[in-house]
Amino acid sequence: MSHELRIATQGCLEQFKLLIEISAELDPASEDSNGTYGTSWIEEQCVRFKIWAGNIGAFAEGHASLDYRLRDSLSTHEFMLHFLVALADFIHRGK
Amino acid sequence: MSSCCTFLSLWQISYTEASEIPLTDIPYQAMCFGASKRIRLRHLSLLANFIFQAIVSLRPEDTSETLERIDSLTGPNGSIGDASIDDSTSSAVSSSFQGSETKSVQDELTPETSAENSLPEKRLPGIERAIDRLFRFSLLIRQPSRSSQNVKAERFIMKDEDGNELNESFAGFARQIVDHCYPDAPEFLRAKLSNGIVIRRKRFLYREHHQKKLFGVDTLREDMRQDLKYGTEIEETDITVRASKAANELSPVETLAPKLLRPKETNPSHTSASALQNQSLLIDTVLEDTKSNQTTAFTATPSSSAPIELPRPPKPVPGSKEFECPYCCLMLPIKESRASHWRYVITNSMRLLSRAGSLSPSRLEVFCTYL
Repeated sequence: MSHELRIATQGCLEQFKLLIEISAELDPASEDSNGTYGTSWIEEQCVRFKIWAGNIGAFAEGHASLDYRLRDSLSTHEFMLHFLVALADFIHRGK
Repeated sequence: MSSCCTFLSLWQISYTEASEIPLTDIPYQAMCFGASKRIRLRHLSLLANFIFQAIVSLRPEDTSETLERIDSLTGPNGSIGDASIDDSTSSAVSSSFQGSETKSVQDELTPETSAENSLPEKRLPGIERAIDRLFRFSLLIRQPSRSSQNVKAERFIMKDEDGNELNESFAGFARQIVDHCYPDAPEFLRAKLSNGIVIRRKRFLYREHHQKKLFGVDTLREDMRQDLKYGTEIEETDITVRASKAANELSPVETLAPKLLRPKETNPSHTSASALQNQSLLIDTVLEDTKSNQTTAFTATPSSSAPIELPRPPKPVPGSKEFECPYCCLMLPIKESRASHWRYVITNSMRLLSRAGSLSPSRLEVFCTYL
Protein backbone atom coordinates (compact mmCIF):
# COMPACT_ATOMS: atom_id res chain seq x y z
CA MET A 1 0.00 0.00 0.00
CA SER A 2 1.32 3.42 -0.91
CA HIS A 3 1.83 6.18 1.62
CA GLU A 4 1.60 9.06 -0.82
CA LEU A 5 -1.18 10.87 0.98
CA ARG A 6 0.56 10.56 4.33
CA ILE A 7 3.76 11.97 2.85
CA ALA A 8 1.86 14.81 1.19
CA THR A 9 0.05 15.60 4.45
CA GLN A 10 3.34 15.56 6.28
CA GLY A 11 4.68 17.97 3.68
CA CYS A 12 1.80 20.37 4.32
CA LEU A 13 2.42 20.19 8.05
CA GLU A 14 6.09 20.94 7.62
CA GLN A 15 5.27 23.92 5.42
CA PHE A 16 2.88 25.13 8.11
CA LYS A 17 5.60 24.85 10.73
CA LEU A 18 8.02 26.77 8.55
CA LEU A 19 5.42 29.42 7.88
CA ILE A 20 4.73 29.79 11.60
CA GLU A 21 8.44 30.09 12.35
CA ILE A 22 8.98 32.64 9.63
CA SER A 23 5.92 34.61 10.64
CA ALA A 24 7.04 34.63 14.25
CA GLU A 25 10.54 35.72 13.29
CA LEU A 26 9.41 38.43 10.92
CA ASP A 27 6.71 39.87 13.12
CA PRO A 28 7.20 38.87 16.76
CA ALA A 29 4.64 41.41 17.92
CA SER A 30 1.90 40.08 15.69
CA GLU A 31 0.06 38.45 18.59
CA ASP A 32 -0.24 41.74 20.34
CA SER A 33 -1.37 43.58 17.27
CA ASN A 34 -4.72 43.30 15.58
CA GLY A 35 -3.22 41.91 12.40
CA THR A 36 -5.61 39.54 10.71
CA TYR A 37 -3.10 37.12 9.32
CA GLY A 38 -0.57 36.99 12.10
CA THR A 39 1.22 34.06 13.66
CA SER A 40 -1.76 33.03 15.75
CA TRP A 41 -3.97 32.93 12.66
CA ILE A 42 -1.52 30.62 10.91
CA GLU A 43 -1.27 28.49 14.06
CA GLU A 44 -5.04 28.13 14.10
CA GLN A 45 -5.08 27.04 10.47
CA CYS A 46 -2.33 24.57 11.27
CA VAL A 47 -4.42 23.18 14.15
CA ARG A 48 -7.43 22.90 11.87
CA PHE A 49 -5.31 21.02 9.38
CA LYS A 50 -4.10 18.69 12.13
CA ILE A 51 -7.69 18.05 13.21
CA TRP A 52 -8.61 17.22 9.66
CA ALA A 53 -5.63 14.90 9.31
CA GLY A 54 -6.45 13.20 12.59
CA ASN A 55 -10.10 12.72 11.75
CA ILE A 56 -9.57 11.29 8.31
CA GLY A 57 -6.56 9.21 9.34
CA ALA A 58 -4.01 10.91 7.15
CA PHE A 59 -1.21 9.97 9.54
CA ALA A 60 -2.70 6.68 10.62
CA GLU A 61 -1.04 3.37 9.99
CA GLY A 62 -2.39 0.40 8.13
CA HIS A 63 -6.09 -0.07 7.70
CA ALA A 64 -7.03 3.12 9.51
CA SER A 65 -5.17 5.32 7.04
CA LEU A 66 -6.50 7.59 4.35
CA ASP A 67 -4.35 5.79 1.80
CA TYR A 68 -6.13 2.57 2.70
CA ARG A 69 -9.55 4.19 2.51
CA LEU A 70 -8.96 5.50 -1.00
CA ARG A 71 -7.18 2.43 -2.31
CA ASP A 72 -10.03 1.46 -4.64
CA SER A 73 -10.82 4.91 -5.96
CA LEU A 74 -7.81 6.00 -7.93
CA SER A 75 -9.35 9.22 -9.20
CA THR A 76 -10.24 10.38 -5.70
CA HIS A 77 -6.82 9.34 -4.45
CA GLU A 78 -5.23 11.33 -7.26
CA PHE A 79 -7.40 14.37 -6.59
CA MET A 80 -6.62 14.32 -2.89
CA LEU A 81 -2.92 13.95 -3.59
CA HIS A 82 -2.93 16.88 -6.01
CA PHE A 83 -4.92 18.94 -3.57
CA LEU A 84 -2.46 18.30 -0.75
CA VAL A 85 0.55 18.96 -2.96
CA ALA A 86 -1.05 22.17 -4.16
CA LEU A 87 -1.85 23.16 -0.59
CA ALA A 88 1.77 22.59 0.44
CA ASP A 89 2.93 24.74 -2.47
CA PHE A 90 0.35 27.33 -1.56
CA ILE A 91 1.53 27.49 2.04
CA HIS A 92 5.07 27.66 0.72
CA ARG A 93 4.12 30.67 -1.38
CA GLY A 94 2.51 32.24 1.65
CA LYS A 95 5.96 32.85 3.06
CA MET B 1 14.44 29.91 -16.55
CA SER B 2 13.95 33.60 -15.91
CA SER B 3 15.89 33.27 -12.67
CA CYS B 4 18.71 31.57 -14.59
CA CYS B 5 18.87 34.48 -17.01
CA THR B 6 18.84 36.91 -14.14
CA PHE B 7 21.74 35.20 -12.46
CA LEU B 8 23.62 34.94 -15.73
CA SER B 9 23.21 38.63 -16.39
CA LEU B 10 24.26 39.48 -12.84
CA TRP B 11 27.26 37.29 -13.21
CA GLN B 12 28.15 38.96 -16.50
CA ILE B 13 27.88 42.42 -15.02
CA SER B 14 29.99 41.63 -11.99
CA TYR B 15 32.59 39.89 -14.07
CA THR B 16 32.97 42.61 -16.65
CA GLU B 17 33.07 45.28 -13.98
CA ALA B 18 35.78 43.46 -12.13
CA SER B 19 38.13 42.47 -14.89
CA GLU B 20 36.86 44.06 -18.11
CA ILE B 21 37.54 40.83 -19.96
CA PRO B 22 35.09 39.58 -22.57
CA LEU B 23 32.62 37.12 -21.13
CA THR B 24 33.24 34.41 -23.68
CA ASP B 25 36.81 33.87 -22.60
CA ILE B 26 36.40 34.16 -18.88
CA PRO B 27 38.04 31.04 -17.47
CA TYR B 28 40.66 30.74 -20.14
CA GLN B 29 41.78 34.37 -20.13
CA ALA B 30 41.66 34.60 -16.40
CA MET B 31 44.10 31.75 -16.12
CA CYS B 32 46.27 32.43 -19.15
CA PHE B 33 46.70 36.15 -18.86
CA GLY B 34 47.64 36.02 -15.23
CA ALA B 35 44.62 37.60 -13.67
CA SER B 36 44.96 38.01 -10.00
CA LYS B 37 44.09 35.13 -7.72
CA ARG B 38 41.48 37.20 -5.92
CA ILE B 39 39.53 37.90 -9.11
CA ARG B 40 39.67 34.27 -10.15
CA LEU B 41 38.39 33.13 -6.80
CA ARG B 42 35.57 35.62 -6.97
CA HIS B 43 34.61 34.45 -10.41
CA LEU B 44 34.71 30.85 -9.36
CA SER B 45 32.47 31.52 -6.39
CA LEU B 46 30.08 33.47 -8.60
CA LEU B 47 30.06 30.66 -11.10
CA ALA B 48 29.39 28.09 -8.38
CA ASN B 49 26.64 30.28 -7.00
CA PHE B 50 25.13 30.63 -10.45
CA ILE B 51 25.17 26.87 -11.02
CA PHE B 52 23.61 26.26 -7.61
CA GLN B 53 20.87 28.80 -8.17
CA ALA B 54 20.24 27.41 -11.64
CA ILE B 55 19.80 23.92 -10.17
CA VAL B 56 17.52 25.27 -7.45
CA SER B 57 15.50 27.23 -9.96
CA LEU B 58 15.00 24.10 -12.05
CA ARG B 59 13.78 21.93 -9.17
CA PRO B 60 10.63 19.88 -9.90
CA GLU B 61 8.26 22.18 -8.04
CA ASP B 62 8.70 24.91 -10.59
CA THR B 63 8.43 22.81 -13.67
CA SER B 64 5.67 23.72 -16.01
CA GLU B 65 3.82 20.50 -15.29
CA THR B 66 3.63 21.18 -11.57
CA LEU B 67 2.62 24.76 -12.12
CA GLU B 68 -0.11 23.67 -14.45
CA ARG B 69 -1.33 21.19 -11.89
CA ILE B 70 -1.37 23.81 -9.16
CA ASP B 71 -3.08 26.30 -11.44
CA SER B 72 -5.76 23.74 -12.22
CA LEU B 73 -6.49 23.46 -8.52
CA THR B 74 -6.09 27.10 -7.74
CA GLY B 75 -8.14 30.03 -8.74
CA PRO B 76 -7.12 33.14 -10.63
CA ASN B 77 -5.71 34.72 -7.51
CA GLY B 78 -4.05 31.55 -6.39
CA SER B 79 -6.67 30.32 -3.98
CA ILE B 80 -7.06 26.59 -4.18
CA GLY B 81 -10.09 25.33 -6.00
CA ASP B 82 -11.52 28.66 -6.96
CA ALA B 83 -11.39 27.90 -10.64
CA SER B 84 -14.58 25.90 -10.57
CA ILE B 85 -16.61 28.26 -8.47
CA ASP B 86 -19.54 30.11 -9.79
CA ASP B 87 -18.71 33.78 -9.71
CA SER B 88 -22.15 34.81 -8.68
CA THR B 89 -22.00 32.79 -5.49
CA SER B 90 -21.56 34.87 -2.41
CA SER B 91 -20.08 33.47 0.70
CA ALA B 92 -18.79 34.24 4.10
CA VAL B 93 -15.14 33.54 3.76
CA SER B 94 -14.56 32.67 7.33
CA SER B 95 -15.72 33.18 10.83
CA SER B 96 -15.26 36.52 12.40
CA PHE B 97 -12.99 35.00 14.99
CA GLN B 98 -10.25 34.65 12.46
CA GLY B 99 -10.59 38.18 11.41
CA SER B 100 -11.84 37.73 7.89
CA GLU B 101 -15.00 39.25 6.67
CA THR B 102 -17.90 38.30 4.49
CA LYS B 103 -17.33 39.07 0.86
CA SER B 104 -18.48 37.75 -2.41
CA VAL B 105 -16.49 35.31 -4.48
CA GLN B 106 -16.68 37.86 -7.26
CA ASP B 107 -14.42 40.07 -5.21
CA GLU B 108 -12.12 37.16 -4.53
CA LEU B 109 -11.81 36.37 -8.20
CA THR B 110 -11.27 39.88 -9.42
CA PRO B 111 -8.08 39.92 -11.47
CA GLU B 112 -5.39 41.82 -9.72
CA THR B 113 -1.87 42.76 -10.46
CA SER B 114 0.86 40.29 -9.69
CA ALA B 115 2.30 42.65 -7.11
CA GLU B 116 -0.95 42.64 -5.17
CA ASN B 117 -1.26 38.88 -5.45
CA SER B 118 2.15 38.45 -3.99
CA LEU B 119 1.03 39.98 -0.71
CA PRO B 120 0.55 37.40 2.04
CA GLU B 121 -2.81 38.98 2.89
CA LYS B 122 -4.02 37.94 -0.55
CA ARG B 123 -2.66 34.42 -0.41
CA LEU B 124 -3.27 33.41 3.19
CA PRO B 125 -7.09 33.36 3.03
CA GLY B 126 -6.74 30.70 0.38
CA ILE B 127 -5.22 28.40 2.98
CA GLU B 128 -8.30 28.71 5.16
CA ARG B 129 -10.60 27.98 2.24
CA ALA B 130 -8.46 25.03 1.22
CA ILE B 131 -8.77 23.53 4.69
CA ASP B 132 -12.53 24.11 4.57
CA ARG B 133 -12.59 22.14 1.36
CA LEU B 134 -10.53 19.38 2.90
CA PHE B 135 -13.12 19.05 5.65
CA ARG B 136 -15.93 18.89 3.11
CA PHE B 137 -13.96 16.39 1.09
CA SER B 138 -13.44 14.19 4.13
CA LEU B 139 -17.18 14.24 4.82
CA LEU B 140 -17.79 13.18 1.26
CA ILE B 141 -15.25 10.39 1.50
CA ARG B 142 -16.36 9.02 4.83
CA GLN B 143 -20.09 9.28 4.16
CA PRO B 144 -20.90 9.09 7.86
CA SER B 145 -24.54 8.20 7.42
CA ARG B 146 -26.71 5.64 9.12
CA SER B 147 -27.64 4.13 5.78
CA SER B 148 -24.02 3.39 4.86
CA GLN B 149 -23.54 1.78 8.26
CA ASN B 150 -26.58 -0.36 7.65
CA VAL B 151 -25.21 -1.55 4.34
CA LYS B 152 -22.07 -2.70 6.09
CA ALA B 153 -24.09 -4.22 8.91
CA GLU B 154 -26.05 -6.34 6.47
CA ARG B 155 -22.82 -7.96 5.35
CA PHE B 156 -21.88 -8.73 8.95
CA ILE B 157 -21.40 -12.41 9.72
CA MET B 158 -22.90 -13.46 13.00
CA LYS B 159 -20.86 -15.98 14.92
CA ASP B 160 -21.38 -17.88 18.10
CA GLU B 161 -18.85 -18.24 20.91
CA ASP B 162 -17.12 -21.08 19.10
CA GLY B 163 -16.75 -19.07 15.91
CA ASN B 164 -19.40 -20.88 13.90
CA GLU B 165 -21.44 -18.84 11.45
CA LEU B 166 -25.00 -18.22 12.58
CA ASN B 167 -26.53 -16.38 9.65
CA GLU B 168 -28.44 -19.29 8.20
CA SER B 169 -29.48 -20.85 11.47
CA PHE B 170 -30.58 -17.53 12.95
CA ALA B 171 -32.63 -16.78 9.83
CA GLY B 172 -34.32 -20.17 10.17
CA PHE B 173 -34.93 -19.55 13.86
CA ALA B 174 -36.45 -16.13 13.17
CA ARG B 175 -38.72 -17.62 10.53
CA GLN B 176 -39.92 -20.28 12.96
CA ILE B 177 -40.71 -17.64 15.57
CA VAL B 178 -42.67 -15.55 13.07
CA ASP B 179 -44.55 -18.59 11.78
CA HIS B 180 -45.41 -19.53 15.32
CA CYS B 181 -46.57 -16.03 16.31
CA TYR B 182 -48.42 -15.16 13.11
CA PRO B 183 -49.62 -18.39 11.49
CA ASP B 184 -52.42 -16.66 9.62
CA ALA B 185 -50.35 -13.87 8.11
CA PRO B 186 -49.57 -13.90 4.38
CA GLU B 187 -46.37 -15.59 3.31
CA PHE B 188 -44.63 -12.48 2.01
CA LEU B 189 -45.31 -10.62 5.26
CA ARG B 190 -43.88 -13.43 7.34
CA ALA B 191 -40.80 -13.55 5.12
CA LYS B 192 -40.40 -9.79 5.34
CA LEU B 193 -40.74 -9.80 9.12
CA SER B 194 -38.27 -12.62 9.67
CA ASN B 195 -35.83 -10.98 7.30
CA GLY B 196 -36.22 -7.73 9.23
CA ILE B 197 -35.46 -9.49 12.50
CA VAL B 198 -32.26 -10.93 11.01
CA ILE B 199 -31.14 -7.57 9.64
CA ARG B 200 -31.88 -5.82 12.90
CA ARG B 201 -29.88 -8.41 14.79
CA LYS B 202 -26.97 -8.00 12.39
CA ARG B 203 -27.00 -4.23 12.78
CA PHE B 204 -26.97 -4.51 16.53
CA LEU B 205 -24.07 -6.96 16.53
CA TYR B 206 -22.16 -4.95 13.93
CA ARG B 207 -22.40 -1.76 15.97
CA GLU B 208 -21.42 -3.57 19.14
CA HIS B 209 -18.42 -5.04 17.34
CA HIS B 210 -17.52 -1.64 15.90
CA GLN B 211 -17.70 0.09 19.27
CA LYS B 212 -15.38 -2.51 20.73
CA LYS B 213 -12.91 -1.83 17.97
CA LEU B 214 -13.22 1.91 18.47
CA PHE B 215 -12.37 1.55 22.13
CA GLY B 216 -9.28 -0.43 21.22
CA VAL B 217 -10.47 -3.81 22.44
CA ASP B 218 -8.62 -6.44 20.53
CA THR B 219 -11.48 -8.60 19.40
CA LEU B 220 -9.16 -11.23 17.95
CA ARG B 221 -7.40 -11.60 21.28
CA GLU B 222 -10.76 -11.76 23.00
CA ASP B 223 -11.80 -14.55 20.67
CA MET B 224 -8.61 -16.42 21.44
CA ARG B 225 -9.20 -15.91 25.13
CA GLN B 226 -12.66 -17.34 24.75
CA ASP B 227 -11.16 -20.31 22.96
CA LEU B 228 -8.74 -20.87 25.79
CA LYS B 229 -11.55 -20.58 28.32
CA TYR B 230 -13.10 -23.74 26.96
CA GLY B 231 -9.75 -25.54 26.77
CA THR B 232 -8.22 -27.58 29.53
CA GLU B 233 -6.37 -25.86 32.33
CA ILE B 234 -3.33 -28.07 31.84
CA GLU B 235 -2.85 -26.85 28.27
CA GLU B 236 -3.09 -23.23 29.36
CA THR B 237 -0.47 -23.63 32.05
CA ASP B 238 1.81 -25.40 29.62
CA ILE B 239 1.55 -22.74 26.94
CA THR B 240 1.27 -19.47 28.78
CA VAL B 241 4.18 -18.62 31.00
CA ARG B 242 3.71 -15.25 32.57
CA ALA B 243 6.21 -13.48 34.75
CA SER B 244 4.80 -12.90 38.19
CA LYS B 245 5.14 -9.38 39.46
CA ALA B 246 6.50 -8.83 42.92
CA ALA B 247 4.25 -6.89 45.23
CA ASN B 248 6.49 -3.86 45.78
CA GLU B 249 8.46 -4.11 42.59
CA LEU B 250 8.26 -1.17 40.20
CA SER B 251 9.08 -1.34 36.54
CA PRO B 252 12.04 0.75 35.33
CA VAL B 253 9.67 3.11 33.54
CA GLU B 254 7.67 3.69 36.70
CA THR B 255 10.78 4.43 38.72
CA LEU B 256 12.37 6.74 36.17
CA ALA B 257 9.36 8.79 35.16
CA PRO B 258 7.12 10.47 37.68
CA LYS B 259 3.45 9.74 37.40
CA LEU B 260 2.46 13.16 36.15
CA LEU B 261 4.92 13.10 33.28
CA ARG B 262 3.89 9.73 31.99
CA PRO B 263 1.52 9.93 29.06
CA LYS B 264 -1.80 8.22 29.42
CA GLU B 265 -1.69 4.90 27.68
CA THR B 266 -4.43 4.41 25.16
CA ASN B 267 -5.06 1.46 23.00
CA PRO B 268 -5.07 2.27 19.32
CA SER B 269 -8.32 1.82 17.53
CA HIS B 270 -8.64 -1.45 15.66
CA THR B 271 -11.14 -0.14 13.19
CA SER B 272 -10.47 -0.37 9.52
CA ALA B 273 -11.20 2.58 7.28
CA SER B 274 -14.03 1.74 4.94
CA ALA B 275 -12.85 1.69 1.37
CA LEU B 276 -14.31 4.34 -0.85
CA GLN B 277 -16.04 2.64 -3.72
CA ASN B 278 -14.83 3.49 -7.18
CA GLN B 279 -17.62 5.89 -7.96
CA SER B 280 -17.77 9.44 -9.14
CA LEU B 281 -17.78 11.83 -6.24
CA LEU B 282 -19.43 15.21 -6.41
CA ILE B 283 -16.17 17.12 -6.34
CA ASP B 284 -17.98 20.34 -7.19
CA THR B 285 -19.69 20.27 -3.82
CA VAL B 286 -16.29 20.11 -2.18
CA LEU B 287 -15.02 23.09 -4.11
CA GLU B 288 -18.07 25.23 -3.42
CA ASP B 289 -17.05 28.26 -1.47
CA THR B 290 -19.51 28.13 1.38
CA LYS B 291 -19.35 29.58 4.82
CA SER B 292 -16.44 28.37 6.89
CA ASN B 293 -18.03 25.93 9.31
CA GLN B 294 -15.55 25.57 12.08
CA THR B 295 -15.75 23.69 15.32
CA THR B 296 -16.86 25.41 18.49
CA ALA B 297 -13.29 25.34 19.72
CA PHE B 298 -12.61 28.11 17.25
CA THR B 299 -15.93 29.85 17.00
CA ALA B 300 -17.29 29.81 20.55
CA THR B 301 -14.97 32.42 21.89
CA PRO B 302 -16.07 35.13 24.28
CA SER B 303 -15.04 37.82 21.86
CA SER B 304 -16.41 37.46 18.39
CA SER B 305 -14.24 39.99 16.68
CA ALA B 306 -11.07 40.62 18.60
CA PRO B 307 -8.30 38.02 18.59
CA ILE B 308 -7.39 36.28 21.83
CA GLU B 309 -5.38 38.51 24.08
CA LEU B 310 -2.78 36.87 26.20
CA PRO B 311 -1.28 38.36 29.33
CA ARG B 312 1.98 40.01 28.50
CA PRO B 313 5.17 38.18 29.40
CA PRO B 314 7.00 39.44 32.49
CA LYS B 315 9.91 41.78 31.96
CA PRO B 316 13.05 39.82 32.64
CA VAL B 317 15.93 41.25 34.61
CA PRO B 318 18.46 42.76 32.20
CA GLY B 319 21.36 40.43 31.62
CA SER B 320 19.67 37.34 33.02
CA LYS B 321 19.22 34.26 30.90
CA GLU B 322 16.15 33.02 32.72
CA PHE B 323 12.93 34.38 34.12
CA GLU B 324 10.25 33.04 36.42
CA CYS B 325 6.87 32.47 34.88
CA PRO B 326 4.34 34.14 37.21
CA TYR B 327 1.72 31.53 36.36
CA CYS B 328 3.49 28.19 36.60
CA CYS B 329 6.38 29.48 38.79
CA LEU B 330 8.93 27.68 36.67
CA MET B 331 12.27 29.12 35.69
CA LEU B 332 12.20 29.41 31.93
CA PRO B 333 14.87 30.44 29.43
CA ILE B 334 14.66 34.00 28.25
CA LYS B 335 13.62 32.96 24.75
CA GLU B 336 10.30 31.72 26.14
CA SER B 337 9.29 35.30 26.85
CA ARG B 338 9.21 36.05 23.16
CA ALA B 339 5.80 36.43 21.63
CA SER B 340 6.09 33.29 19.55
CA HIS B 341 6.85 31.11 22.58
CA TRP B 342 4.83 32.96 25.19
CA ARG B 343 1.51 31.69 23.88
CA TYR B 344 2.64 28.10 24.34
CA VAL B 345 3.99 28.83 27.83
CA ILE B 346 0.70 30.36 28.90
CA THR B 347 -1.47 27.54 27.60
CA ASN B 348 0.86 24.95 29.05
CA SER B 349 0.82 26.70 32.42
CA MET B 350 -2.94 26.66 32.44
CA ARG B 351 -3.02 22.98 31.64
CA LEU B 352 -0.53 22.08 34.34
CA LEU B 353 -2.18 24.20 37.00
CA SER B 354 -5.66 22.97 36.26
CA ARG B 355 -4.48 19.35 36.37
CA ALA B 356 -2.60 19.79 39.61
CA GLY B 357 -5.60 21.53 41.17
CA SER B 358 -3.45 24.34 42.47
CA LEU B 359 -5.03 27.06 40.40
CA SER B 360 -6.16 29.68 42.83
CA PRO B 361 -9.55 31.28 42.19
CA SER B 362 -7.99 34.62 41.37
CA ARG B 363 -5.60 33.11 38.83
CA LEU B 364 -8.37 30.98 37.43
CA GLU B 365 -10.31 34.18 36.91
CA VAL B 366 -7.30 35.69 35.15
CA PHE B 367 -7.02 32.69 32.87
CA CYS B 368 -10.72 32.63 32.18
CA THR B 369 -10.57 36.30 31.35
CA TYR B 370 -7.71 35.96 28.97
CA LEU B 371 -8.21 32.52 27.45
